[in-house]
Amino acid sequence: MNMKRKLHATIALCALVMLPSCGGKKEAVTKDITAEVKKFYAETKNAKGGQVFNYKAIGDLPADLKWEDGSEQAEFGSPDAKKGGTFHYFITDYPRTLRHVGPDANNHTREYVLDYFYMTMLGRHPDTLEPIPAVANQWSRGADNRTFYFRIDPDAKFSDGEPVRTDNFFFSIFFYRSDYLKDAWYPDQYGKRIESVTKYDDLTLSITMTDAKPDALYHAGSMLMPYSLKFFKEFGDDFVERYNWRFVPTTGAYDLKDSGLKKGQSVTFTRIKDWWAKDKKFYRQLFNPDRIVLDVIRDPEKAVEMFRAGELDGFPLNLPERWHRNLPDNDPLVEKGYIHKYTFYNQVPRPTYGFYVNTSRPLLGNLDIREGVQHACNWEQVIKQVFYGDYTRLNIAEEGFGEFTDASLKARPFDAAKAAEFFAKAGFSERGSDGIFKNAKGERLSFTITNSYKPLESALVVIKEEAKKAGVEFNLETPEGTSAWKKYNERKHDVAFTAFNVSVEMYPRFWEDWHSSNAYKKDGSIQTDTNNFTMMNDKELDGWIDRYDKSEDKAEMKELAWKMERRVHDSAAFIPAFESPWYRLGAWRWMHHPEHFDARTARNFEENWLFWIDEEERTATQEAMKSGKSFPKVVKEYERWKQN
Amino acid sequence: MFKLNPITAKKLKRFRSLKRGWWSFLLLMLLCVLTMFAEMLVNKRALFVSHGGHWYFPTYGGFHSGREFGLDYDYEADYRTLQVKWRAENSPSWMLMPPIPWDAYQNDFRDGVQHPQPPDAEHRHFLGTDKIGRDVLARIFYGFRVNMLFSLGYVVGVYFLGIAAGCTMGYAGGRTDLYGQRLTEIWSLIPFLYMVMIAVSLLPANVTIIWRIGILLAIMIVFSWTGIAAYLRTVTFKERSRDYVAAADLLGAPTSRMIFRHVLPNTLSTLVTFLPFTVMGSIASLNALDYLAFGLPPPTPSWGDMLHEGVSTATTAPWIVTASFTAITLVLLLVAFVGEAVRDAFDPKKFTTYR
Repeated sequence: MNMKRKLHATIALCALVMLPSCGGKKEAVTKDITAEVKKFYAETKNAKGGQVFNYKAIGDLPADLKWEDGSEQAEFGSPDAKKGGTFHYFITDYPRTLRHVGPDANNHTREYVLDYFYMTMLGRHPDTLEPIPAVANQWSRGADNRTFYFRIDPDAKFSDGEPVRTDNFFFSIFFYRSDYLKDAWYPDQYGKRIESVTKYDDLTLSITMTDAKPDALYHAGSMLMPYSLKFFKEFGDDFVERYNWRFVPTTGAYDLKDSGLKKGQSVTFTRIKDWWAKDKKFYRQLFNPDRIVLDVIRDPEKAVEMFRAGELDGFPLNLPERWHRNLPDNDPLVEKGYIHKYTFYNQVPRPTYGFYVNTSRPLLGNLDIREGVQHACNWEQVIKQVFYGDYTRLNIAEEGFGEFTDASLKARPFDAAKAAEFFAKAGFSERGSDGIFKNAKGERLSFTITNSYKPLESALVVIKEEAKKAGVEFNLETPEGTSAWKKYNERKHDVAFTAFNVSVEMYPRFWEDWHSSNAYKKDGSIQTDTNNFTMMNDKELDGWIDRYDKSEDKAEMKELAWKMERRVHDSAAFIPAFESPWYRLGAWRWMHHPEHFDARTARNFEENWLFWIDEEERTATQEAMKSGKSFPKVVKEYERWKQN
Repeated sequence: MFKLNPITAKKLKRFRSLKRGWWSFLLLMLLCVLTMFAEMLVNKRALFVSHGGHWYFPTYGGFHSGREFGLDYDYEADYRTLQVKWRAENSPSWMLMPPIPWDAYQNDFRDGVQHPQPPDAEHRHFLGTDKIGRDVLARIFYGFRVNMLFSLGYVVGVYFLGIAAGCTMGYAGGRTDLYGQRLTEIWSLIPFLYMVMIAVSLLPANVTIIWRIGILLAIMIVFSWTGIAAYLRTVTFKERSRDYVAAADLLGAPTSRMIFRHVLPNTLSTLVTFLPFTVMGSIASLNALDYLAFGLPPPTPSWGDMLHEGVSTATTAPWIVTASFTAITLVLLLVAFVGEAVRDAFDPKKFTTYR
């Protein structure tokens, strides 16, 4: 009895303590980061000992600056684009956060929260990769090629109405250098690459990068990202939890309101009616749907069926199986013109699908064996039979970088006889009773392929069967996604089948994949958790990479890039697999596209948001389907950017 | 001469009289016998080749390169195309191919054909092909063998551990029983599926396929013996307190004799009754694991894996899901029928003296 009373008393006390906080409208703002930010601005020094944050008068601007505004660039949308309607699409998982950075931030929804819409200082033309206005409407390059000046568009403002000013960029540098993000990459990049920033007035700012790489302006323009201090006032060591579900006020065209979040089910973005850039050149023809509804559909097969049922407006048909089986050209939906099929040839660096051969393994350390294994991989057969002949062979890991790619380098074709020659050189000349080569010691040419893509397993099964002809045995394993990567990172693989996604940049990166410091530590022990999956350890190559990374001369970089590409090719440590020279889309007929369809560097139909939705046509089509009326069939290829 | 105990003979007779179970049993046995000779029925290698005055038996023999049969390559001869070639050339060489000239791994890469292909008697794909052109029937057939061999290993392992543990607990009693019981309770609560997933993802790269299957089998056994042990403990406990055991004890029989001659034979009906259901459990969990991609390593023919592929292509290639689903259901049904019949046949009530 006594005990029970005590319990009641405790509950009452708890209620009493909790009431004030529950009763209030919102939790009182106890934090204010402003003082810390000011202190950071005043005290932060760069590697050369100078101030990172500087203040000057507008009169201090160099007099001879030539201002550019991108006006010579052509618009890339369509003048016919109509605003309005709802775009229905899907995400494979409900976001675990709306933050731009920090744990779990790298999720599917971030593309909508950040990548597609959020405007940074400078834009990039998706056809020419030349700068175009974004938050800045004018910019200028300093004589040193690493200082850049920006004039902020006076109209620019956040979705909460706050205008964008120089201070917002200062704050974002503070933000991205902060340990509160619980993310190592951004603080490192922002600390390492930005030497200083200078405020001339509320609308004029300059930035000095630490190096004068040929594309430094692009990096400066995209690293300068406006953030509102007002919004991040409570920024602090509990950032990850405190800001987990707060949508960052955006400079882009789409807002996410609390009502747009249906936990576990869908995320809905709404177009900002009076968006500040809605009538600006380059942006007036983009971002057309009024609403973007993203349903959570975890199973891709279900998503295909929902697309066929008209619940999704478009669906990527990049997988040959989708294009030929799920929605063949003779499907009634296509025949009757309800769904259109498009192939758009693009020009972008390709994901590097291929075998990363671990050269630190006993047999695979031998160049002749690697050469033989190269000729034992029948990717041609896989492309022809598994991928319906739609893909082409990837030739080197650095494909798609224009002049930085040496197009004369070709992947080694499948050739059982040639493979046998190389194996014989390495002492493997006799076939066992199972047809696999062995050497005098009785060692067999047997390797394990560790695969990180379950859907591509069938391709590897073909590789395995074909390799038997060349006298090589491949064992296959497909561990769960993260454990495959763990294996690669710990170098426990023989052959890794994976790909690195390459971003659209001017020139390829070599250091991450091929520099020996990413394979071995100084004491000779293995360096784990880097991208050097081949354990490439070539001092001459290292020297070239170091020179390349320091070089500020485009011609020299190009020459080095070609040399390095050949060197990697000669090492036979990377077996290129396949690439697709296009992206493919199935879209209901109420989804419209510009005449040229998309921009040169588009990797998917969403990247540039050129399409528009016609709601009247949606209704008309749905009625036509009931009555059986058909429309002209549309299966179209856009070959403007096709490369032989 | 092996002589049946009259009671056992009666039980067998009763089993035979339960028609559904008996026929299921015969059918299963027939399939098991057929699958032992799978290489002669379903194979890409010829049964017999006569070429250049030599006779070859590639089915069970080793590897013969294309060059041995006058082809221009050093890898294994493709007998099917070779047969077509010889026939077309009216060559004196000839061969005998198995009725289904495909094995479970070979990809049928005819020009201009994209897989999966529907059933097609001309190319002897009687149940069609899968995504990468492997014969569905061949994979079902070899998959059956894998399932049966796996079940055999599983039953032997589970029964061995279960009988050993259950018998020890039941016979020794006292503290051994008390602590043994608690241990098995704790052990049986470890989620077996997670353990398999963890173990499979931790295996190093250089483990060969046969070892992988062995390890999978071992893990499944290690986490599945507790059920049998519990029953065995009860039965042993019961038998242990019977007068005949006490009599044997008084006569000075050693423990081993008492266990193996007196107690164990009397638990046989329990063991036999559970046997088919253990087999069912093995097939079901193996295929469930395969379906989730934690089971047999690819490209081992497996029904669970085929079911997975079939579900994802259900609208475009329904023959894959139909074949694998039918195979799983049919075999589980057959085993269940046998199990039912065995249970009825061994039901003590039928022969009780207290009728």
